[in-house]
Amino acid sequence: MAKSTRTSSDLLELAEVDRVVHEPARLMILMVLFGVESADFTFLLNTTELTWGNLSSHVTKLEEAGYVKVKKDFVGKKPRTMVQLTDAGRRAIDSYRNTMQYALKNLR
Amino acid sequence: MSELPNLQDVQKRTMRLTTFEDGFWDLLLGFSFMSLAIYPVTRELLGPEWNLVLFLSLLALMVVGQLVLKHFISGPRIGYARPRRTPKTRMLLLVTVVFVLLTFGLVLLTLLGPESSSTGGEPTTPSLVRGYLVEWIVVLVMGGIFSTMGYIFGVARLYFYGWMLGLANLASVYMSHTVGWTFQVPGAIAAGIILVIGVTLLLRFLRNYPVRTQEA
Repeated sequence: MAKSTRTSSDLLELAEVDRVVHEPARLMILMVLFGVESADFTFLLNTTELTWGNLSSHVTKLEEAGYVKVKKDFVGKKPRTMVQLTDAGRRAIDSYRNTMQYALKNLR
Repeated sequence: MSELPNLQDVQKRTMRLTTFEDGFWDLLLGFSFMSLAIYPVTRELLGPEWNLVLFLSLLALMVVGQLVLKHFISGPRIGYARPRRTPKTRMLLLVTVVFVLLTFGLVLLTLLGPESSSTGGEPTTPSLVRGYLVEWIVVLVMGGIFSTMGYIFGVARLYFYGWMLGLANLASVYMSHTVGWTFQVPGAIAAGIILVIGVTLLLRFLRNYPVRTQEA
């Protein structure tokens, strides 16, 4: 009985996981940004191997959730889009990691 | 299902992409050790003071050149990422700089030590083990430094570079003693191998990472 309660609790933890972070493409973007101060679109394209359209739509979703900041500037005459993880984004990754570790730690 | 990367793998991959993928780091290393190989030759021509000025100027030029080339060639291809400044990364940078300076210092010490000078005497052949203790220590230090860097950054060729450069330095000093070579041939060969690898990596990088044009 106790085991069944524990399993239900673990499952509930999984149900509460942050879906913005949980999506694989967005998780990749967040993982890359976690290790740098900021990165431009080209860098994210090369590290995640997503297409322009996909990357753009996922970055927009992350921006709407407040997890990344997008800043547009120019290098010479060329436009450049820099993406930076916010404090909320960093906390979201930490929380996601803890949730997944807790929920899956006894899974074999 | 393919193996999922963890955060550390992603960070190593990011470091590899920004630092080691384009071959410029290898070219800088190769040119630096090539200039060390000809250091004793130019020293005879220019004298120790002017030679040191020439060497340091060349080194500064190569470092600046590498940064400029990375900015104009690698930047548009792989994009720009500002490294995250944490106490850990600052410490890593400091340790790397100290290791690089230590490596150059040790190599210069062995090349210019009083026993290494080929001028003013007959070549001698001291025991390869007992007579070259400092050079063997340099082999271990260089092998250790480059292996540590290779492990931290996940770049396998750094292990090879460390041991090759250390042994090439030992061979250069040995040849200087036994044959009287001023030009450090083994060191030049090792530097040449690194340059060839650097050029190969650069060509592969240019092919694999074309300049992207931003799409809507």
